[in-house]
Amino acid sequence: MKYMIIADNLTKRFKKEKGKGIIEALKGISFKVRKGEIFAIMGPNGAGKTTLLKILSCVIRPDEGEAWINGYHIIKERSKAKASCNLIIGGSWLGLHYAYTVKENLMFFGRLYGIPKEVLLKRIEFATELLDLKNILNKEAIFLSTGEMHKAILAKMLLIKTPVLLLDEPTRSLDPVLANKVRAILTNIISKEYKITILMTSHQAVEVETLADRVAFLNKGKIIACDTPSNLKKKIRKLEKISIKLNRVPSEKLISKIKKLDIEKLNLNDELIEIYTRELEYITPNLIELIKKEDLKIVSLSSERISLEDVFKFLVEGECYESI
Amino acid sequence: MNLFKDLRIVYYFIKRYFRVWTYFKVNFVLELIQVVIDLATMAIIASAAGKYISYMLKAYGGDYFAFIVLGLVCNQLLSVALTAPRSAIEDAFWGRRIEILFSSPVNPTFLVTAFSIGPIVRESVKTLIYLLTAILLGLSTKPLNILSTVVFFTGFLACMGIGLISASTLYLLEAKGGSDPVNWIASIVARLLSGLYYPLNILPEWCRWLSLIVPHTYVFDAERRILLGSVSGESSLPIHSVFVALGFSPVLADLVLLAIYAGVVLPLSYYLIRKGFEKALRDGRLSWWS
Repeated sequence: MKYMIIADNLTKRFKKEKGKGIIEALKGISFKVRKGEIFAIMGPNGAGKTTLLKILSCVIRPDEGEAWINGYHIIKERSKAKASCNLIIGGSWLGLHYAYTVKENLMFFGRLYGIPKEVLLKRIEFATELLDLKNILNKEAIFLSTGEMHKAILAKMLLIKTPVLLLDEPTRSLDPVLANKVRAILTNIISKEYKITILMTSHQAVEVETLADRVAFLNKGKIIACDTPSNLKKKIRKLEKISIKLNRVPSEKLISKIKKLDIEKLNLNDELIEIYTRELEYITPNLIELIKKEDLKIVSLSSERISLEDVFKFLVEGECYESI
Repeated sequence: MNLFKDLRIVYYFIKRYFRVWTYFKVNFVLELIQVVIDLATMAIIASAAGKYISYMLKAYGGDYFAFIVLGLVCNQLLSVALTAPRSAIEDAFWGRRIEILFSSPVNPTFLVTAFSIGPIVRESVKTLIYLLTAILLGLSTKPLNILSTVVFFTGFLACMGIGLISASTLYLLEAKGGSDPVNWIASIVARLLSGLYYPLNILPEWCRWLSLIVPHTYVFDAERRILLGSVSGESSLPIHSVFVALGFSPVLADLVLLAIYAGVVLPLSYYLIRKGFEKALRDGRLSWWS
């Protein structure tokens, strides 16, 4: 089986400002991405997602470990590795030049990859249609809103058809309609039609669940879980979440009593209590009893099977990581 | 990547640079007017002071206006070679474009060179306006010839080398924000000691020796001799005497020294700029959002 991306024990440390100490952004990351796969990296802010993308696109060098893009070593065969991947990264200007129109910026990007003018013009036309760029195509980047800028830069994925696409938070700053369009483009065009391997980062569990063939949870520079979204959920299938909204903030005494029940984790957010448990049927009546004793009223109560987002929160915030 | 593709990329960078240069129209027009005003100022100074110092300009034909215009024209282009690589990288750095550019298949050192061509072309346009205005104001020189062209390009390459070394300090010394020690020293020596506004022989001996550390000194001397005075004649730089003893004319001495200068500085600059980028990649500081 051909792997388009191989990361082997990637480690990256950054010096803190004024040289006071070291931040370990990545701590021995290893994974492999198959040809045509959509592989997502999920993690909280500062988990090391963008650092990982930058290492794979050769704009940051790892301190330890190695990586290959399309079979090319990212340090020893840097130019071939770079020619094999297209980096689309977040941030305010996203690589756009303020004095150029969206179209000119896109042409410029394409030219750096040696794409002929005629081909580029056709691809820009196609991208315009799919991403609804018509109104901003001849607008200078300096006049674009954040969402428009993001939309413009996403068009780059339809212009440059390298074997690997490295995508940082593809639907950031987009409205829900356009975000869905982008997801559809990624699945139906970039992945299925162009057969491009996608490595993307995201904060949005719904997006990852819809798009990704596999997902790796990255936290504090380490991959804490990596599997298909459905397998990850299966691994903690017995775990359920009870959400209770009370009429006022519960006392510490009540919380400590609840914690003594058979629960895995408790989140308290003002009047809202979220409880993760594997013993839903046993817990619920006891919980209601405890609340009544404290003279509190239940505004709402619901229980649900956990989503990928819950798995993510559960693992990231996680004392219960060992349990899966 | 073949030469044709490389040239096309340089062309795209020049095109983009011109868009930026002309983007703020008022600024663009004022910049061009400034060229004419600078020259008019020089013409007035030359007409007032020229007669008092023309006796010191024998080797250069004795015309102070021509002396200073030629110096300023050369300086304009040599200065941009000193500053263009650095300012081009800083522009991409602060504009948050550098990582996207560096993630493309284009070689990083080539990218820096391509970045720098735009400002060089801009200064060439301004220089042309400068020269045309000077001709209208009565500038008279001998016609350009192969020797003056070779001297100028050798000097330009030497300055480009210093410019690339200066650019490398962005990452090697983290000297960001507009100035760095290499460019600062080179610019000050070029302005004060290289004979831009006055002949070197009015300076103390130690200043004249110090002036030899920048290519400008050799370019100004040689170009003024070739286009205004005579290729041979008395020595004007302290190091000339060594070469004259070997049978070289001062202009040939300038050319040889410039070639040695460029031969040393260019490979060094290539090495340092690569080291600078390697450091930036290692430190994760290629861009400021890293």
